[in-house]
Amino acid sequence: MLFTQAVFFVFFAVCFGVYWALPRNGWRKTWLLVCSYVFYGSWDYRFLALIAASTVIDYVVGLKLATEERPGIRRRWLLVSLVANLGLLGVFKYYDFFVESGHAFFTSIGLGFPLATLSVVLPVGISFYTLQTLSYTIDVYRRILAPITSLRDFAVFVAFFPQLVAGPIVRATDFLPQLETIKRWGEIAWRPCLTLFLFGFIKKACIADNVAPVVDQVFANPDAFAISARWLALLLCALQVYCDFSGYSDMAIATAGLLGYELGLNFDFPWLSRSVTAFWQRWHISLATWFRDYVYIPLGGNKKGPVRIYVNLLIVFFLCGLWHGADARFVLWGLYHGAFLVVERLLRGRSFGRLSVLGLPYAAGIVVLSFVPFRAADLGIAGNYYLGLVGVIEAGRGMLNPQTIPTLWWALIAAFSVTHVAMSRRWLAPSFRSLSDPAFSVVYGLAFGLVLPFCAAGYTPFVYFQF
Amino acid sequence: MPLESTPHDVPTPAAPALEPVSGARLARLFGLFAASFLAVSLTASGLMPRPAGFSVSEKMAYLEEHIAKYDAVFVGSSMVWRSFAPRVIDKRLAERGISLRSFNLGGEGMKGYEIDDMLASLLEFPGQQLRFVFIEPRAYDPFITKRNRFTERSVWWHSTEQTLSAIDAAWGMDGSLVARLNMIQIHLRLFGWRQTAYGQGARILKDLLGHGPASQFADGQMDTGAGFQGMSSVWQPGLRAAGQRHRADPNEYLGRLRQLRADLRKRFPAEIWHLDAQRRQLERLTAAGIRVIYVMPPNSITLPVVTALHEEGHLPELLRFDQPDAYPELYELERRYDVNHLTTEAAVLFSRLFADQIVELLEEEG
Repeated sequence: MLFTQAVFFVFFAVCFGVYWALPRNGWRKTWLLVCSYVFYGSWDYRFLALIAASTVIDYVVGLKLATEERPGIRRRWLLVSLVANLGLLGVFKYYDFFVESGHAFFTSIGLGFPLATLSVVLPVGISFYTLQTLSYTIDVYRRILAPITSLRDFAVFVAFFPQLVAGPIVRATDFLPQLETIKRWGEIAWRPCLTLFLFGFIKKACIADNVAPVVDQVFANPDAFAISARWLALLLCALQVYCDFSGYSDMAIATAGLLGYELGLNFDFPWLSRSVTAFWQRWHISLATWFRDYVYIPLGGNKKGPVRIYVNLLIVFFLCGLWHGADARFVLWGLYHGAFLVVERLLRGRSFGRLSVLGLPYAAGIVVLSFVPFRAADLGIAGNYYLGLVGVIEAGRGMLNPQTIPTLWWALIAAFSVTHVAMSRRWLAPSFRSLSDPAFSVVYGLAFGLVLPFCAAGYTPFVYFQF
Repeated sequence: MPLESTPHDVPTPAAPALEPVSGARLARLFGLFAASFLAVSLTASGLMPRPAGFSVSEKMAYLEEHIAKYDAVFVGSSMVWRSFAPRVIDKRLAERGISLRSFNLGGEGMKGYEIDDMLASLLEFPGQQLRFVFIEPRAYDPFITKRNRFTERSVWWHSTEQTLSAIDAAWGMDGSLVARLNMIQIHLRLFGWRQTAYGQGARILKDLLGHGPASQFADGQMDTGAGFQGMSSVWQPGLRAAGQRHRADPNEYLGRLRQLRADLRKRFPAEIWHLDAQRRQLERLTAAGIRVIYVMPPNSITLPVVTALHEEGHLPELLRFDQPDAYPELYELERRYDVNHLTTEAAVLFSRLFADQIVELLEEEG
C-alpha cells in the first residue's frame, strides 16, 4: 500500500474517520496500532512477526534499563537490544552481502569456501524502524528518556504507519510525549497538512514516477547513449530520488499531522545548499541527525582533534552508505560524501570560504555526480558512466526514446529549480493563507483533479523502500 | 498540533484559527472539494483521446464526423476487421437491388464490454441513422489478463455502465472470493482512471496541440475501404511472423480445424454467458431502431454457447460462417493468412458469400 495508491486513500479515510470518532485517547492509540499493523501487513503479513519481536524486545529492555542500577548489567541489556535489532537487520539486509564479499576475497587468495547465502526478501522499512527502536533503548540507557510502561504505546511508536516504511526516522524523545497528549480536531492545522500532502503527491506521482522510465532507460545501458543523454539522465536521476523521497516524507508528515502527530523535518531545500556539509544538514535530516547523535558523537565527535574528526566523518558516512544498501556502490557513495565533508572541513576558513558564491553549483554538482554509483547496476558500469560523461571513453550515439522529448525534460529541470527557489522563499504562501476554508476546499479539489492526469500511470515503488 | 512549527519545503500556510470543525461543516467542505474535483475530472475525462495505436479509435474518430454516410456497421474482433469488406458487400447487395452503405468497425481483440461501450458511443454520434448493426458475438469476460490490465484500451471502456456490468460478472465468475474481489478492485481502479483521466495528461495536451499518434490508415483509406483492411496490408512484425509460421507449418491450423469441428458438436448452456449484458446490448440497439444481426465469421475457433444463445432468443438473428463443412472454400489452407485470419482474397470471397446470405435473409422476409 503506497501513499499514492487509491487503496491508501480508502484505508486512510477509514482510519481517519474512526480515529476522530473515538472519544478516548487510549482507544485512538489502539486503533492507530491496528491500522499500522494492517498497513504494514499489506506488504507481507509475515513481516509483522519481525516488527512485533523488535517491539517486545526493546520494550522489555527499556523497562530493565530503568530498574537496573548496576552499570555492567545495564550495558548487557543495551547489548541485548543492539544485538537483536542489528542482528535482524544483519540477517535480512547484510548477511548475503558480507558472505558474498568474504567469499570473493577468500577465493581470490585461494581460500575458497562454499557459498551459503540466504536470499531472503528484505522486510520493508526494517532499516528505518531499527534505527527508531535503537534510539529508544540508547536514550533510556543514557537516562535521557524515561522508559515507557505501556506496551501498546511503545508498539504505536515503532509501527506508526505514516512513517513506518520510509521515515522520517522518529526519535522516541520526540514521539513518545505526543502519545500522552489528548488530540483535538480543532487544534489540527488541516490545511497545511492537506497542502503538504498534495505537494508530496505531486513530487512522487507526477515528477519522480514520470522521470523514472527515462532514468531506467539510460542507466540500463549507458554505453549506448550520447554524452548529452547521460547528463540529462543523471540530472533526472537526482531529481527522481529527491522528489521520490522528499515527496514520501511530505506525505508522511502530512498524514501524521492529520492524526495529530508531528514528525520532524526531513528535507529543507537541500538543492540550495552551498556546500556538501550544508547539504547533509538539509537532506534526509532525520537520518543525518541520527548518525550524528548515535554514532558521530559517541565516536568522539569534534572533541578529539582534527584527525579523529576526519576519521569519524568517514566512519559515519561509510555506515550511512551501508545503511542505504548492502552493496559496494552505496559504500562508495557514502565515502564519496564523507570525503567531501572532510575536504570542506580541511579548507574551512581558507580557500573554501571564497567559494560561497559558487557554492550552490559546486554542492549541487558534487551531489548530482554522486548519484552515478547510487543508481548504476554495479561499480564497473558506474565507472564507465563517469568516463562517458566527460567523453574519456567513446559514448554511444543513442538519444532518449523518441517518445520522450529531451527538451521537455530540460524544461522540467528548469521549472523544478525555479519552483524550489520559489518555495524556499514562500512566495506562494500568502495566496494560500488568504483563502477562506470553503475557497480552500474548492481550490484543493481543482488542484487534485488537475494533478491526477499528470501522474505516471503504473506502479512505481518508492525508491527508499528498498533501504 | 502546531504544524507551523514544521517548516516543510512547501509553502505551508499559517494554521487557520483553531475553531472546532463540526461534522456538518466538515461535510460541507468535503462536498465543495468533491464538487470541484469532479468538475475538473469530468472535464479532463471528456478531453481524453481514444486509445492510441488501436484501429477502432481511428475508425470511431472518422465515424464521429461521417456516420451519416453509413447505414450499417460490422462490429467485432480482428476477424471482422480483416474479413468484412464493406465495398464488396455493398456492391454485391446493390447488384441484387438492395442499397446498403456499410462500414467495418472491427478491431483487434475486441470483446463484449468494449464492444458495448463502443456501440453506446456510436449511438450518440450526431447524424447517426444506422439501420443494421452486424455483431460478432464476443465473450463478456470480466477477467482482464495482466498484460492488458492497465492499458489505455482497458481504461477507456470502463464507463459507469460497463464497469458495473463487469463487476457484476466478476462477482459471479469462477474462482475464490479473493480472486473475485481482486478482479472487482481492478475494475474499480480502471473506472477511477477513466473518470479522472489518471495519467493521461500528456496525451490530452498532445491531442489538444494536434500531435496525435500516427495513423494506421493511409490517406483516404478510411473512405475507400470503409474501415476494412485485408491481411495483405499488415505491417506489424508479429502478425507477419504468424503468417510465415502458418505457411511454413500448417499443422497448428489443421489442429484448430479438428478442434473446431469437435467444438461445433458441443453445446454449452446459455447461462454461462453474461445474459444481462447481452440483453442490454440488444435492447439499446433495437430501441434506437436498429436491426441487430449476429454473425459468426469464418473463424477457426467457435463459441459452443452460441447455439443455445440463439435458440433461447438472446441472439435472435444469427448467421454462422464458422462451419468448415458448409463453407469449405473459406477454410482451405491457402485462403488463410495465418491460423486466425483470412487472406485478403478470401475476405473478398467471404464478403460476397455474406452479402448473398443477407439477400436471402431479406428475401425470406419479403
